[in-house]
Amino acid sequence: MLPRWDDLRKRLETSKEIRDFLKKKLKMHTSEIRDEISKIIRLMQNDRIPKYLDKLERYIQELELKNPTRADLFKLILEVIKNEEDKFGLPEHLPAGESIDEEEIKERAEEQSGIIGRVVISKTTPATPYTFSFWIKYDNECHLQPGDMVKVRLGKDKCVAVVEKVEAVSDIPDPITAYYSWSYGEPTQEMPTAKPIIRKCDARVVFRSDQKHVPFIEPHEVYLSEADEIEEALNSQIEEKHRVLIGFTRDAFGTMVPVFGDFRYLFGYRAGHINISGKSGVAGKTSYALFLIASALSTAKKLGSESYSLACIAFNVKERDLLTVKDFPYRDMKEAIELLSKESELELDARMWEKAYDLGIDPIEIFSNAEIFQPGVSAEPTKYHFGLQDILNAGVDVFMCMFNPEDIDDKMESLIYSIEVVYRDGKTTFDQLINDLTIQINRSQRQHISIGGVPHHVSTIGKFLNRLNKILRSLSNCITRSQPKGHPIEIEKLEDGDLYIIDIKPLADNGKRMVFLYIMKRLDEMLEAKKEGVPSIRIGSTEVDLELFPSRVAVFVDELNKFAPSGRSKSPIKSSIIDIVARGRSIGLTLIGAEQLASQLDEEILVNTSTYLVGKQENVELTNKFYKWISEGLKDRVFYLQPGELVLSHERHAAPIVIRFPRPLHRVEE
Amino acid sequence: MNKVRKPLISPDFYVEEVKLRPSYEKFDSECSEIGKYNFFQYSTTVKFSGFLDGSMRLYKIGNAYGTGTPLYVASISSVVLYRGKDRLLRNTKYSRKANIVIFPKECYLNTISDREIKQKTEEFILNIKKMAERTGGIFIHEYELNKYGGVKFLEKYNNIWIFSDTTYEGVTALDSSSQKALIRQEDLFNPVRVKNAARARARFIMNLFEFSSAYLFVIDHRESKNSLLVDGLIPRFSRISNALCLKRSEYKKCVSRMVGFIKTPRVIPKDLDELKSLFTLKEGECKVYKGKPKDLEVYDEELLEAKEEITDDEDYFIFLRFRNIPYFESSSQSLVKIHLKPGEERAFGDIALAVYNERLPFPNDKSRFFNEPFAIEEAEKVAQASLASEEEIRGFMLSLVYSLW
Repeated sequence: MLPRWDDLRKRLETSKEIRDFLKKKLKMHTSEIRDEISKIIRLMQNDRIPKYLDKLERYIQELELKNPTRADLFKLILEVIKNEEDKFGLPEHLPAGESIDEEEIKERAEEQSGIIGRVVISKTTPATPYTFSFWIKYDNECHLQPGDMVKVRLGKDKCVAVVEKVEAVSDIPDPITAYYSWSYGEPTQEMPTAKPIIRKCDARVVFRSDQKHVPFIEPHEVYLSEADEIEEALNSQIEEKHRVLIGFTRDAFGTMVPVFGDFRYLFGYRAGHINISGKSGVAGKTSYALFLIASALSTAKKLGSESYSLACIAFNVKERDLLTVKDFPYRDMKEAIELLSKESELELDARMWEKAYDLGIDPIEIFSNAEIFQPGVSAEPTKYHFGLQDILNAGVDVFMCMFNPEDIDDKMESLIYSIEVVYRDGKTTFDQLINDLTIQINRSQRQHISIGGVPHHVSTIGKFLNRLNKILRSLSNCITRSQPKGHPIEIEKLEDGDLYIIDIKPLADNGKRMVFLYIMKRLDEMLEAKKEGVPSIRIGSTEVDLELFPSRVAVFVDELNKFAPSGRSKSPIKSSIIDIVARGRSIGLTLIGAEQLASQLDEEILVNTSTYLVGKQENVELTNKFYKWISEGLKDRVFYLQPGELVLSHERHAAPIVIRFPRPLHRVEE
Repeated sequence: MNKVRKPLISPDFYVEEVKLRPSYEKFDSECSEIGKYNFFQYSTTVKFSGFLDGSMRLYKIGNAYGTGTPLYVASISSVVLYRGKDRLLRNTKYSRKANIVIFPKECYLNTISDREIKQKTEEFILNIKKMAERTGGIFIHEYELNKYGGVKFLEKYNNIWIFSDTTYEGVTALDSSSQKALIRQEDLFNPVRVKNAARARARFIMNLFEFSSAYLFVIDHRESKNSLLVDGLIPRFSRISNALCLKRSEYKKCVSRMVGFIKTPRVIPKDLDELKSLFTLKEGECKVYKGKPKDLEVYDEELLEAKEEITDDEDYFIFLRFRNIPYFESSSQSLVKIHLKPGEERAFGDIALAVYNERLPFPNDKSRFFNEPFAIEEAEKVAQASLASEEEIRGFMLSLVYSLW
């Protein structure tokens, strides 16, 4: 009788015990369970796992010594087979005259054991408390790449490490020897003996269950890591209630493992700020930010606690990146996951969204409720524009950042301060301001005019009027000249779980700067008051109630380097952003900044950041000191990162790791 | 006032250089030609799946009290590599290693009259035993190898410490009634002779280990038709049978699957015309001779060890060119010799072809470019890696010296 493989597959897929085991012990999800069972059936068909039941029993005994968890899985499988009357056509005993080959059993069990090599401590590869090297066995099916995770068995304890570098070496001294060695350079010649190639990996310790900070002193066994071990390694330092999903990594068996960040280290008050850098178009900076926002807001909502309330503001800087977040081609997450999993190239995304959804993350719900604000001088609630009084109320630096930094000299700065003193009266418009200053210049017989008691040279006022006219013309889509107050974005109405998307793409660069700083300053004021426990604050002439205002706000802005570029030059906006970022952590104002080149961003902003992410990046940029936290081996990988892959360094993880994230559901079609 | 101590050993540690001897020929007038073959016409029925080589390193660890007789420790290893279907070489469970402490103890005790030193000499051997056992090893006197079962004993243990007394010839000397002295009283003061005796003894024990590894490999792979390629000459039955407790039938079974590979033939047919014909062999040609093996090719030097009468049957030797550089005249260095024990119809052409096929890939060591099979080079590397390191032996020596203070 031939084995009924399809029936066996179906039975294993529907067996409650096996499903529960794979879910709980091996952290697998529906599609992963399906894949795992298909893989086991395939291996049985190819005799990599015995199909004779007596041999399978012996195999399980051997596997028990090497990988008890997988042995338990095979016990369940064997039980399912034995419970079937005809054993699914699988032979119970080996053919007569054949006996179990113990060597083969050991070899096969070893394949499933996950052991791949041993730690090597040598003169050239010393072990430190945080790094070590190991070699991996010669097996064409055993591969490791930078970013993969491995486990080192330390008796009862274990250590999980991330592979930073992989090298293959042989003792062939040079290419000339290799050439002659191959029958004097005859490539078609078959060699009776294959020259050994040894692969050596460098790894960085991510987690040690014994909590020790000592180097290895034995050539310990190195294993492929399994999902539960990686999860423990990465997440055990983070309390469950503080966990925010920040990506996924894969174990050696292809299972997606959620990677969590600590809410308090991402959004304050312990640490804060997230920076994402990578090549435009391929690194997926915006996609990742949206994934993170969805995850963070869902987590905050799940926590439902006043002290962990969170809202997000995202600036749309280019294209229609963020403006289409509501355009989902799916009704809900279940439908999205189902449809994605039907397409082979989106299967991985489906798997990640499935796990994320299980963790309570629902981007469709979060983004469907997002409010989108666009610039426009109209009364529509989704349009925003500013009058002179709105800007002056926000602060002189907001007013100043509309000007080119080169135009702001001491005289100009002094004039703007005087204008703020005199014209911040709740009723002056831009037109009136220009008119008033023009009249004063025309009437004046002297070189200096007093504004707010401070004398200003007429040429300074002339320069001011000249630049202001130009600014007002270029920002006509977000500034009202004839009204003292416009319709600014009502940040004070932000509540827990809200997502505001502010489109600044149509604005000129100075407009972008002004709107960004306006929002940041408002948030700064309100979050500071909220942290202090003040029930309400006065903004301009309005009293704002802070009861419903979230305790934390995350602000996402792409091309952050435009607002705070690197270099010594100081501009009003740069100084203000640096100041806000430096204090943001303690008041719950987090900046999720993205830029193509981290080296173009101000150093102070980077050093205040607790979580770094780097997507595909050019090698020239990676030589910069801002990427020193990525080891050399991992840096090589950065150049080859695929869209949806990032190198992550989070305050609560001991070493940088490579993570994946699913593509945004509103951009799947792309 | 402190009593002046008498140390049995004054430490004097260094690695004895094993000098590379120039390749020289010894003419063999007794051998006879069987024939000349073009092995390209033969089939590839013979295949090698095992490769055997051994390695040894000799350390001088000190000088004995009163006579200045050098004391040696030899680290030896034998390695069988297995080549699987994937063409990769893997080490096997048949590989063995041992450390041998070599000293003409009996001769020394007969010469020294000091009771304290005599006592310390016995204590010294006891301490070696203790140290071996403490590190999970086993200690034996060399003459006990036979007592414990020879090859059966070597099958069971890997970390072995052996004490070898070079006073008499042969490893089983104390067990034999004919005790021929190797080191006499006057030799105790002749460090060169003691060193040569130590080196020859260590080399001989290494050969015992090598044959034991080969035997265990062949027995375990008796179902396979593949052969074992051995570096050097296959040892004679009469030299190893007693120490390894082997029956002639067992020996024959084993050697029928062994092919000896002598990369630098030192013994060459005497006739000058014959000699010329060897050096003008073309690629694919081989000449087969029948003759008796000479120890020179096993030990690279005249043995100080016992030389029994060679009573074995005559063996076969095949000369062939192993590697040739295209477009260049063949080098004399590429002439290699293959050693076969007599057996049922040895297929010379097939064996020569199988050996010739091992010319690829080339070894990594350029000095062995012409005449070293890669697999044998690898076996040698593994064997060398298995040897006790200088630090290990130095530590051992210091522990021994201190244990006697």
